[in-house]
Amino acid sequence: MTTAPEYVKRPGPVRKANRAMDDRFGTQAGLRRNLNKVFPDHWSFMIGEIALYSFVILLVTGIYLTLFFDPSNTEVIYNGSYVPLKGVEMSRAYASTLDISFDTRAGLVFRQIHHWAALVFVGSIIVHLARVFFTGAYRKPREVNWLIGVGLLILAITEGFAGYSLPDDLLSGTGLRIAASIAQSIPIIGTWASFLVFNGEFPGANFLPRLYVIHILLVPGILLALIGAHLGILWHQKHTDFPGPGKTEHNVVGHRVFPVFAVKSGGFFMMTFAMLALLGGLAQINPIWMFGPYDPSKVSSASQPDWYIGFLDGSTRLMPPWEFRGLGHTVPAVFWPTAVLPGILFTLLALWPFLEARFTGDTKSYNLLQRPREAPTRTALGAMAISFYLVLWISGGNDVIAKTFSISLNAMTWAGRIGLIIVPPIAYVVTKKLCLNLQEKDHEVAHHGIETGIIRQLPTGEFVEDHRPKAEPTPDHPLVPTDRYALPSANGHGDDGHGKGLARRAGKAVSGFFVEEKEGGPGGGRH
Amino acid sequence: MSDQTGPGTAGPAGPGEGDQPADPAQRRMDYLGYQGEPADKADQDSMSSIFKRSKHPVDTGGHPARGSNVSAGGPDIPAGTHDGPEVLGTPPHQTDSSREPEHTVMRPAVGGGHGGGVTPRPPRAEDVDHRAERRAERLIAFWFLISVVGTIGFIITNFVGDKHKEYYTPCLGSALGLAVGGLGIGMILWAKRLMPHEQAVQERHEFTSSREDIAVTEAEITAGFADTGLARHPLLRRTLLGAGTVLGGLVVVPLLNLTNSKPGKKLDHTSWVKGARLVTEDGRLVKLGDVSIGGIETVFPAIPVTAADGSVTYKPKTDIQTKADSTTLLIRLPPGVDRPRKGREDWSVDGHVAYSKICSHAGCPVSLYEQQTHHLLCPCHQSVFNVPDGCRAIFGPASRSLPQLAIAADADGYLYARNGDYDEPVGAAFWERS
Repeated sequence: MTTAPEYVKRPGPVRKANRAMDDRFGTQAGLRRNLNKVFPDHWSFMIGEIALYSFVILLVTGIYLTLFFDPSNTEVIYNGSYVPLKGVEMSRAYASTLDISFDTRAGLVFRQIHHWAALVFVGSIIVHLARVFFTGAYRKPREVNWLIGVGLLILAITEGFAGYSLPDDLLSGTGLRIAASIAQSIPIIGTWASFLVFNGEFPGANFLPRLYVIHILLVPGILLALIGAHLGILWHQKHTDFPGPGKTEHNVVGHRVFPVFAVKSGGFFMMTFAMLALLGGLAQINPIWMFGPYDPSKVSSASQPDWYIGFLDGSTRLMPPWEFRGLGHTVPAVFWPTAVLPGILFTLLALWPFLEARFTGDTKSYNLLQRPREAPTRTALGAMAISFYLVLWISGGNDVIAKTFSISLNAMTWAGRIGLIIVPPIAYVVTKKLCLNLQEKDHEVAHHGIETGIIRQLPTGEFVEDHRPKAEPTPDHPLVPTDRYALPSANGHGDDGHGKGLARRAGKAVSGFFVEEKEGGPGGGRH
Repeated sequence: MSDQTGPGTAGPAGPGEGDQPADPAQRRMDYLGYQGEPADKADQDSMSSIFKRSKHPVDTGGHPARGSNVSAGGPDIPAGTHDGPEVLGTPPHQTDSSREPEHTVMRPAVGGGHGGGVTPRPPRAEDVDHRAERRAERLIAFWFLISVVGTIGFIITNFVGDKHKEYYTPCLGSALGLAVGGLGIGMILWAKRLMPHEQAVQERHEFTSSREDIAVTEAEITAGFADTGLARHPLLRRTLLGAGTVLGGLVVVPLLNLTNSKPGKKLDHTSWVKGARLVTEDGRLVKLGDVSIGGIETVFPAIPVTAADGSVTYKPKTDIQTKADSTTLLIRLPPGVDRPRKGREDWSVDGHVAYSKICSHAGCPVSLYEQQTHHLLCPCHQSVFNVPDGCRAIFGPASRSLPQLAIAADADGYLYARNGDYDEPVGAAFWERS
């Protein structure tokens, strides 16, 4: 046993600063606690970090761009160094974006890093969301962070759209026109909503300064606050971890914040930044000078939004022309795929942890994650959602695909319409089957060990294969998951929380759907 | 508990102070995350064979506890440890250990300490081989130097480089990539190769408070609410609710202030007026014969202005507001192809038909014309309109025909809007539209 560390009588500058803070705030216990916080190691836990770091890079590069960008609708005659547009009338927003791209030191590289970072930001949020979904990381006690995460996703998409709409080029103006049409399509309040947002009939009066404030103050402010809450809750609740040797529901195994985790994360931030810097320097993105200034009478063919808007573009393209007219009013076809559909999708996404808890009757807290196969119904539903999203997303570029592969555009549209209905159920069935088979494999390995490929002949003449036993299970890490999806009602309890009558029967039916497992197969009982 | 319940409270009856844990210090410890006992037996059983570690190593003065500090291949014994080769690190300092959550830190140790089933990682080459450690250090230093090279490259390119040259942006991006990437690779190698390869185990604590704690908190809130008197004074309650609701309604005011331009019938009208001539973007008034058969032209209104002497001039309107709703397509169909709708037989001249270019679906300009099929295609969502059939929507998400502009030719052959504006709103549909 060692003695306590000695109090250093003649402190150096670092100790002096530490003591100065401690005299004022009493920091030592909390500082130790936080420096020694343990974070588990798994590559999939770093996807969320990519999102965080992209956001930081977005802030830094965004601040640089605000110093040169002029979000004004005022028309000017361009006289910068990009020759093809010299003498063309355009908004100051577009002209200043050209100036950033051609006449500002490090302007184009930071503009492109900013754009790439936005694409990576939304992308990493969605991959992070998939990781959280398929491992069940959102389960109690982490539902609130799931809700915040869904909010962050919606805000990130909004922020991205506002950002690429600011330069007032032909592509972004076309996007805004569609946005105005969508706002206009909302029943009852649509026309007013569109007029209030755009300050009059599209293209509105001085709309860009308004969009600018939304893009650089309002949405980033909320994003920043929600990211703070997201990380604060994560810090407080401690990170989830995959089951493994020595890992239980009651501990975290990994590296402490100081120093290893901090240095690794710092390095990872630098790597994210480096990748975005290389992309921003070497991979051209959103070359607005090739599109020209916005003109409501012009459009470029094969115009594509940023990738994260693509699924809405696709849903709009696939939508049959179902416009409802009656009693002197209209609900336009564009309303369903662009307002109703994302509304339903994001609502379901937000409610998912609560729906799952409700229908499985599982209200326990979990710190250990599941592998996707351990929750076949959830995984299959996730695969269904992803396939639904992918059909929409691919359809968002169906004109480009049709042109590239010389397919009829009508055929592409019909393939998307039919695919949207039949692909997700197929994805569901295949994924569920796959999960159950993988479970069976786990089950077999747990009971008979791992095949070694060594064949022995018994004295009786019989041939058998040797099996190597798998590691002994620990209490919190059963080799085969057992009671994760057991229903209270399945055990004969009277009240399963599903209410009365029809609602009760419906609730039970849905629960059965959620907890369906193979008879006598894995998950059938404890081993 | 007096510091928690507060002195001024009315002292709620019910689950009172008597039910509180006897030891207030214990509760404070719970709050700080103290776990008095290891969470499970497995951990407890193995406690003797793994080293425990306080929040701070003894050697805060910069002697990292690494295998490299001892002779190559030897046991990993950091300075200040006396309990034998398996125990790395130091036990909690007794005076403050009660305030700390338990930590177990596993490091590669000869003898294979086993902590609660956590397998310590095997020692790395750097842990046992001094030369491997030196190599790792040199490699990390190399990447840090690469970072410096990148930073210098960025600065030079930024100030000395010609920003109008093609190399400028790729060079800046690559240099910045090296500058931050070199640092990043170096840091990750540093953490992976030279920092202790630990498997720290930290207890989690339950979030659910004790029943006593919940009871007291709820009682306090109940008592506090009772103190407000809202339950006893219905007038107070109702007027407060009323005032709050009315005040909340105020948010409508700034919302409505967002525009001075009320929708009214604005969406029903465009800039086309009776007698307005068709003018191209470059200001050329369109005459019969300007568009060849199968040809197409985007046109805008040229508004007739009557001067004091009675002469009429035509003023083209091609500002962005006009373009947003008045942009029109003039298409010249081959003779006999057009099948005008009832009542629109005289809306076209000599095969020239005029339809709104603003898509009836989402407002994009319908700009792709297929001469052979006489179809118009919107590039945004692929709605297809059949021009000879009154620009009826025949495929895609659009459900309405493109509005038709009635045109005629005057004595000089100039095309003009014979009836004035479109007889229906152009562009995307909306609630008020019938």
